[in-house]
Amino acid sequence: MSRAWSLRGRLVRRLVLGVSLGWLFGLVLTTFVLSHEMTELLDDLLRDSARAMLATSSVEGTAQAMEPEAFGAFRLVTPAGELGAAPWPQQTGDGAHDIAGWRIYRLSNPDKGIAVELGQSDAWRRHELLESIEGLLVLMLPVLAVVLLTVRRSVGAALAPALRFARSLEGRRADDLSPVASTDLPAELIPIPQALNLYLQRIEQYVEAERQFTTNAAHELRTPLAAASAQAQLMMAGRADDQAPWHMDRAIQRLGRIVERLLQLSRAEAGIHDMTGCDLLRVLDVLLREQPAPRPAFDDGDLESAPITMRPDAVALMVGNVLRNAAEHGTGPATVTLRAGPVLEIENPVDASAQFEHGTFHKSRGSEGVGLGLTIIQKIADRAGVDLSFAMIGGRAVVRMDFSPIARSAPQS
Amino acid sequence: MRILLVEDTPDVADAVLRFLRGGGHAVDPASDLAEARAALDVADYDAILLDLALPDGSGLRLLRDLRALRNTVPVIIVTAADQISDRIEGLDAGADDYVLKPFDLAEVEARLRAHARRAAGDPAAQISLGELRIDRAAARLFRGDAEIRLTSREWAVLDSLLSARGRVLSRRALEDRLYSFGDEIAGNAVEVYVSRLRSKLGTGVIETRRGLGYLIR
Repeated sequence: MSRAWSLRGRLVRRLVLGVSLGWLFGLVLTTFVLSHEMTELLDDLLRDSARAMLATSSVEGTAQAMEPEAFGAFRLVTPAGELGAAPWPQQTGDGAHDIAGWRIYRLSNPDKGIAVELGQSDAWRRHELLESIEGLLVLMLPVLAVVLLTVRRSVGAALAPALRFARSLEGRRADDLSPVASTDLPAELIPIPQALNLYLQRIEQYVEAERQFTTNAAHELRTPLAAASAQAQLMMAGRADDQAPWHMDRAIQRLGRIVERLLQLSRAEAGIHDMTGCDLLRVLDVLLREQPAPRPAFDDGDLESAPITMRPDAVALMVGNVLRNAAEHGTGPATVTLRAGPVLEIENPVDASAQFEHGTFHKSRGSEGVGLGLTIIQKIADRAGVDLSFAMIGGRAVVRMDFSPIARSAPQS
Repeated sequence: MRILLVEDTPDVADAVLRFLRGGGHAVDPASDLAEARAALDVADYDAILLDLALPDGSGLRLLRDLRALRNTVPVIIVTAADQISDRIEGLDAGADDYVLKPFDLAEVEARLRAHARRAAGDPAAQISLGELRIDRAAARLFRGDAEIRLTSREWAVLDSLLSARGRVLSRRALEDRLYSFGDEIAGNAVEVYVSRLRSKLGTGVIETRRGLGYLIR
């Protein structure tokens, strides 16, 4: 596994790089602007100096002394000749000129018959520009350092809640299903603990359901065991009547039924799907043949076959439990009807007060059932994708199983 | 003792009922909360055996209601709920004891006796009455080293009088401790058992208060 990258490191690096590039771009832009402005400024200086010199000069050739830094060289042209040591050839037109390493400004006075040429070397101008940029750099470097430090600290501070959150997750026990705290997380990260808490809540619900189921299963197993044990003790104490063995047998049978259904439930949870599937019609044929008398009436709807993507054992568990419920809680024989879809309906007559008890391990008055059968049926249907419905219609309990969501097309003969 | 047995599993209720009745106790069965409340409305019980998972709700509801009414009758929870949290919840609700299914019937009976004695204010299992030595926990009676055999009904009468030691128990109160609902009660049954006890214990142990009842000092 490659080493995980650091969000903080990446953010700091990229921000520093971005700020630095931005600063450099700014510097280039500043240099460009500065160069342009300095050119204008120095040109203005040359022009003003030329005007001043022209005003103070005469045909005789005298020129007032000028500040040496204002320009590098000059030439005063009079009818009498030239004054000054300008290294550029004499110009003819007034105005600014660029000539071989010099910036020249010429101004003439035709009335006086004189002209002045002032020049600044390009090297001197570059030197002045670089000096200005150097000053800018010196001033900007501490600012840049402060910016970089601020970026680093800001990124650290911004990421601190996320790091705390990560550390709190890292430090949790694997079996800790309590909600994770997200009080100081930024809005962008809030969805993470929210989703995590929902997930933890679901896991906790599953764990609690499992725990509750195990507790209830233990409870239901202990009760018939207690009945059998108490009847045996009664017999040993000589206080039993002739019904005691019958009571004991009934308790043991009840114990057996609960154990069997718990095992069925365990099997149902093990696996339902099977892409090879089975023929529902064939499974029903075998299952109904094994039912104790009176066997349910079966109407196959003249179907040739009813292929579905479900294990035959799972089908048998589900349909078998419906038939057993019908036999245990009904008042007459069940009727099984298969129709295209395939849709299977199992119905049987029941007492007027009868109702489906859907709660696992829920007790209902006058019934020894604890809802395990319906739980098995529902669980298998849910996992297999079978649409299941229960109804009491006109004194009949009707269980409808719609297998169409998992139907397969019939094989070609 | 008169005991209310609240248990919805018929096989369990039947066995407990027979065992306790065989021990001379009057036991009234109730298969749900409604029946238990009806029985409590018309009879005073020395102890209640209470299952928790009942068709019309949890036995803890009945227990909490009893304690809210300051009814101090000893209640032993008999249940298959085996978690320690269930036990804590039951005891916190006011139960005196907790028995887990499957259980030993003799142990349940012994616990019933112990709690009933404690509720009557005399938790001692061994009692001496002159030369008589009575082991109430084992339901045995001795004169010196010789054991005196009592029938379960005779023992029930003696145990009831010992529970109310120093106080007069009316014939009706004794009948209540001997017979469950629906039992056929002979008009002079109590007198018959008291007479038999006197012949076994000796005269003077059980005194008669004419028009009031019987007592043991």
